[in-house]
Amino acid sequence: MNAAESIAERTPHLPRLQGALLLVGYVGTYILLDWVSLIDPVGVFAITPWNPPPGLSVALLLRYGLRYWPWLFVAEFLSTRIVAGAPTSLAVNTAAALLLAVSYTGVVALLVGPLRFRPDFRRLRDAVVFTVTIVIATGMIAVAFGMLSAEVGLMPTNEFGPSVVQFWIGDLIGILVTTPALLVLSRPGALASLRPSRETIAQALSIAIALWVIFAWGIGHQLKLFFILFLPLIWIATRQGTEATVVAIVAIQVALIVAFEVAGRKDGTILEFQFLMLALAVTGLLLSVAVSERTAIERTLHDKQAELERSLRLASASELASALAHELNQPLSAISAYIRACQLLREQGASRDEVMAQTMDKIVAEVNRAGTVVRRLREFFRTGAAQVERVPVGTLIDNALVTTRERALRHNVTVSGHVAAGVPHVAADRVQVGAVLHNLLNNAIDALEESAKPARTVRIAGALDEGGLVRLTVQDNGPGVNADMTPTLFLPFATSKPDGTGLGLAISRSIVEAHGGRLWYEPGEVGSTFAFTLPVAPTAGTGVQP
Amino acid sequence: MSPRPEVTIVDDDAGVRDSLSLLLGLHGYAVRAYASGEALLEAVRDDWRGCLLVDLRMPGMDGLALQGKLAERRIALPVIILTAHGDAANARASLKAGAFDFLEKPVDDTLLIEMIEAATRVEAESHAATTERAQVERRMQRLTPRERQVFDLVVAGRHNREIAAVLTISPRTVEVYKARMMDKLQVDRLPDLIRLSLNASNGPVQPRENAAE
Repeated sequence: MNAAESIAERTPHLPRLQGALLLVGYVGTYILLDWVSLIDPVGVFAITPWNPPPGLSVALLLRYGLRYWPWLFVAEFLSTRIVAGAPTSLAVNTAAALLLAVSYTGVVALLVGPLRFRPDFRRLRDAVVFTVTIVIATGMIAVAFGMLSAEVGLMPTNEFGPSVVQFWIGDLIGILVTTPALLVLSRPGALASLRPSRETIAQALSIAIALWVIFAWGIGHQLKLFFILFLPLIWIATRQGTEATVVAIVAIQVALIVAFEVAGRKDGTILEFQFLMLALAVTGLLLSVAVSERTAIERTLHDKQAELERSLRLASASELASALAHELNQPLSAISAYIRACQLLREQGASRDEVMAQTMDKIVAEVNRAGTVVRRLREFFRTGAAQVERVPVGTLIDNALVTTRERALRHNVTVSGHVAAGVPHVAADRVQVGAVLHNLLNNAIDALEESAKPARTVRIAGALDEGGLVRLTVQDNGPGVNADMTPTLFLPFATSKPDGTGLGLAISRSIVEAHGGRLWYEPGEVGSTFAFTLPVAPTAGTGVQP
Repeated sequence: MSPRPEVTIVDDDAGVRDSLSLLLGLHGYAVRAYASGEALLEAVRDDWRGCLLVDLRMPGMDGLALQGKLAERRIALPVIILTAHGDAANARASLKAGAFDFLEKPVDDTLLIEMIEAATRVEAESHAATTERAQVERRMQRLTPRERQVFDLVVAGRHNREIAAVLTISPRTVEVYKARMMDKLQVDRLPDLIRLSLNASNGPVQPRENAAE
């Protein structure tokens, strides 16, 4: 997609009436802005140190498209005739207005074209591109305008430098204050975000106080005290987002101009003030966009995280359902076969009574087994909210050993548990941490399945760690974790097993972290070691292990 | 023929193994039970009859892998796969790999017995065909080269006179060879001889015509 298409897509085609209203509003506002900002004018073109109309023009083109460019000429032409009192000939007036209209249209075309500027100021990149482009472009336009004026003999040579600087700073700050404000406030929902709160009222007050402090001292001190204005603006930029910041910048600019009008102007001072104002506006804009961008990224990340967690829960739920179906179907199969057998035995008469009694005992045993499966399921769901209690480390390890004993035997793996002397009890949810240990232990047994070593061992150990934590380690003497798997080891869905879900370590880690511990992998010379920490139980654990 | 049809169960679950053994035993089957595919492969012998009842989901070698191993060993016993609910994809794979059929746990015993009967019947037919073919082969091997030539020509539909011309012997001699040949093959009539020749040239009998769809 090229730039022209993209801006055409983004800029709305207005119905005829609305388009007409927009243009009338634009030209009217342009002339009005030109009139109110007519302070300290220099030369026949009434060059002022604050010139917001070009900001309005740039915003119009960025928001509604380059096709409205001729109206820039109309507005400037009329404004010169009305506000500045038509000081020049029609031809010079036309040439000057045309120069400005074409220049600013060129700047906008450059922004949305090759510079890929997006006029919503959501990315820091856009704010930087905008600021730099406007700084350079207004400088060039100022020089061109000065040369045009000099060419037609309307500007004495000794006035050229100061006029160009005044033109440059006036247009530059006019655009940097006005355009971002208009574009940011036309974003959907922008005005709603400006609802006043206690904090915004305090911020507005602090701006007022800063202005009062600056102007309460004599003119001589004003420049030195200007920096005070940075404080409320930085406060707003970091806390309230771009909308509030652009409003604050406009407010400060207007207040400064008004204060100068009221306090009585002093030639030159206002221009110096405008340089400081420029620094203030750029700082506020860039800072607020940077903060907003970061906040938006964080929000996106957070949403992604939540989405991932949801899918993790779903995946483990479906895995659970499938395991449950298998676990329940075994005893149910056995029960149904035993009952059919009992019916056959009954038909065979009293001679089989003993077998029948045995079979019925077996039925009861299978029913109990099914009951255990259901109970385990209930525990799984109940532990959605962790029930943290004081648990001896030895108990945790013993439970893990019991649940994996059969599997270890089948794979010819020797599993041993060790608890160092004096290890205190931990604060943990028995079932959840049990699941973590069970998972790590199963992983170790899986790893040893591929091991050619005659002695396959897994060692679970509990020891005191630094910082009031107990460290549990599960170490096997298998082949270790493949080097290319290590970076993604704890990511969900990363698995080296053909039928693994890749959720075990991810879930284990989040369980441990929810307890306030850490889970990590320690590559070693032999096999692999997974370690995690758990906090020591708060009530004075005597450290006696069972 | 053994008096009691045989069934071999392979399931890692002790409860399932025990209950099915009891039930099938009461239904009159001779039951063997193994806790894993590995154990079965160690024990299995060529003269086993009946069918296999195999759990699809087992630690170690699963039902599908076991099917493959059995095929490698050329053990043609029909396999009935037992699956947990929702294992449809794996059940389909097992059918493709040549399983006789599959049953979902918990098993409906009427269905189970029907399926075992069908599998056993198919196995018995296939076994009978294999046995007969072996017998025919044995008898055929007793024929002299000359008798074999006469056999081939008779089966090809030639008359005695034509056979005599081909082999450049007298029609009487052909008669003698033919009588001796039919005697050795234990057939009295020409149609029986034709059927025997068809049977002998058949490939191995499939347990089920559409087993490998």
